Amino acid sequence: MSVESAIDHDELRPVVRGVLARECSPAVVRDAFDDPLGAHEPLWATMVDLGWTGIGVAEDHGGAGGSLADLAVVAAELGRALAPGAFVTSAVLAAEALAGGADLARSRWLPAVAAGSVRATVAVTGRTGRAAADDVEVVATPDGGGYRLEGTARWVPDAGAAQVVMVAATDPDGWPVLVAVDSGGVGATPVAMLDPTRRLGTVAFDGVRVEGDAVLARGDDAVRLLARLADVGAAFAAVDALGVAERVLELTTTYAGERMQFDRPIGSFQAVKHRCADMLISVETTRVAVDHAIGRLGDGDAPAEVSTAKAWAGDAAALVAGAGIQLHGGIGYTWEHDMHLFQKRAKLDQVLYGDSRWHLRRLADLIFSPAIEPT
Amino acid sequence: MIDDHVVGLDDFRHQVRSWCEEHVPSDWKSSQHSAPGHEVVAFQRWWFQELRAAGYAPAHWPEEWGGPGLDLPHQVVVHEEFSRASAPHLGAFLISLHHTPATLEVGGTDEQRRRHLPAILDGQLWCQGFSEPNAGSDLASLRTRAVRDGDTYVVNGQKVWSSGAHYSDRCLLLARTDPDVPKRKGISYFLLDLHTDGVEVRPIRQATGQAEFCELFLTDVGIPVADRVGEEGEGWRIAQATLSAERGPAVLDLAEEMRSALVSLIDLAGRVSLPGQSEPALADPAVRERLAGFHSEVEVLRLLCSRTLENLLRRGGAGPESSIMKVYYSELLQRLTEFGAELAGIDAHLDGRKPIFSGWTSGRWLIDHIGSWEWTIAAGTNEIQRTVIGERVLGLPREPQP
Repeated sequence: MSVESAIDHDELRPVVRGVLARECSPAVVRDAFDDPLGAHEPLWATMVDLGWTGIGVAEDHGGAGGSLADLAVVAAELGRALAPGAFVTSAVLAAEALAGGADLARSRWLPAVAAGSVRATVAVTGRTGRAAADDVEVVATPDGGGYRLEGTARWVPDAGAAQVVMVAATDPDGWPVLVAVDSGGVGATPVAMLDPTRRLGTVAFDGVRVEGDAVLARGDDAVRLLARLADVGAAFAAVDALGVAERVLELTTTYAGERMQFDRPIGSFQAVKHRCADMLISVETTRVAVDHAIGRLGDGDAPAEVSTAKAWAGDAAALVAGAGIQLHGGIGYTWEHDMHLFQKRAKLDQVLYGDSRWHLRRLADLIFSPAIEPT
Repeated sequence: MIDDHVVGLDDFRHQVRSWCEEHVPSDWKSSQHSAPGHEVVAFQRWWFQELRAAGYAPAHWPEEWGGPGLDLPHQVVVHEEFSRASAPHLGAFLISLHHTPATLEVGGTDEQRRRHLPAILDGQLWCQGFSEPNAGSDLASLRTRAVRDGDTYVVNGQKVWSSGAHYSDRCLLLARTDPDVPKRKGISYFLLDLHTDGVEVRPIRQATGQAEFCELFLTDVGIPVADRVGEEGEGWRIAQATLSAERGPAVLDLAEEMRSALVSLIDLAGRVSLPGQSEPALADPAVRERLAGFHSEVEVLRLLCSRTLENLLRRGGAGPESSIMKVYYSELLQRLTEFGAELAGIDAHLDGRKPIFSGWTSGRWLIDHIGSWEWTIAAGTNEIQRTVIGERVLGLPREPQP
């Protein structure tokens, strides 16, 4: 089923890293704090020019026909760089929603999302931040061939910067429905997050009407598509966490090799060195778990692999970020240092699209259910 | 329940699976359980020949060594299927199949390879004589002396932690040939025939109750110059190849063994109840969450193992990142066996033994847990490994030398 990617990751990665070094420096990351949309237009324009927004979109919709693994290379670099902006939201999640949705909505929006001329987002989560029908708080009442939407979607990524929103709702019978809504007709309110590198918002629907041609999926199709978005969202939160953890380890190792105390670099002390070794073990184990999940998800559904990777990466990155602050000492605890940004980003990755405990419980249900049937 | 990681070798997998169905003795665990050590060794020798005849062992040996010449995905399938079939372990052959060929590959002559590799295929057992009472983590300070006298070295000293020496024919031996140069430079490498006069082997009983390790006392032992590996003074370098062997293809077996252990653990959780509960432990949310956590960790171990081996094949020779494998494996083993003992409850404390060379996950959970320290201590303690990772992988500054 899987198509071998034509993109060489060992070539793509340094290109992305180089672009981000120029256009997403720590100073740029901090300048974006004050931008309520957090859109960071120059970086977005560069990504569009380089064709990154179309990497994962099929060629007949104007994309490069790449894989989730190709997108993950970019996404991990964005995590490393603490990058603001809607790349994963639009080019991964919304593109996935459109690609898996009905023909009319797909042909209308996907080419624009691939070209980057439109930024799209997904409003698929409710109060607890999971993408699941039992968490969704938007109700879709059938109205002609389309629906009328009432309710609130929460934790919507890049809600303010998006021109189109893929909304998950439930119909009066409790079935999920996915529709594409022009953001002009809805009210997006930014939510101030502790992680200043990202933008989440609340999107309220107050009787918004959507036509039948804007329906992405309903019934069983919607169940499948929502599950797919939940797993792609979880997997890419894990990818972001991997990037964060990698970078924290690099910065910490460099610092430990330079910072002198007792006339020695602190990294020559075993207490510090061994903690760095543990950070590396966390990073490398995260890498194999995340790569495996992304690979399997590219071939089809992979809930067990995604839950493994999400629980693992979320906890590992939070641990690594905490160790990074500890080993930097007082300077790592200051606002001017980047360590707290990595920690906040890692902590948000840990909870987005289901926290570690939720994923472990799901994993248990996936793998142990047959074993507790009465014998 | 637990996925195979290699896809697309279905025909080969079916072939291995049906071979296992036909050949794995159904009663081997019970028949081996209380067998004395020499019977265990004889059984494993027989099983090794069965595997050889079928072309599955030594799975990682290339054709030029007389092995089946399987590529890595085929090796993974072999180990996955052996694990699925709960096939007997080849614990007695660890050094013979991994350390000895890795050593001879790096430091041996064609003549040495021609002499020893076929003997191993015929069932010869090897052990390792590296550590000494005063040279454990600081291996380079070893004091066993080898003094050349014509075509022979005369060796005196004491070795310790030689696993399986009491059943072995030969020993990978490090001894000091030059005491006047810096300690790593004065070490040479020998292939000692354990049947030589002056070699005394004394088993050591371990915390698990088994006697798998031995002390070696060497008194005026003669070793022919032809049994030296490499030049004089090259012993330390060649020993690195020996040590990296256990972080090479040997880990495939360990990773798949851990997968079997997880299956046993889940099975246990389905059979036992927690104190004061009537439902199986597997219905308890906290137990389920911990088991799911172990499932993740075992999956990560298997993936890490494959990644390490891919890198090894690409570059030739295990890099220091194989230390990551060792630390991760051994600490997971410790936690997983501890949870097994916890689930088994007070029954796990009933006196019991496991046969020697039976691996580290026999399903006697408390014994396995106690035995797991063998992995966190042996082959360079995890503290040493973390220093190796810090210095050689991350490039952190070395500890100042006194």
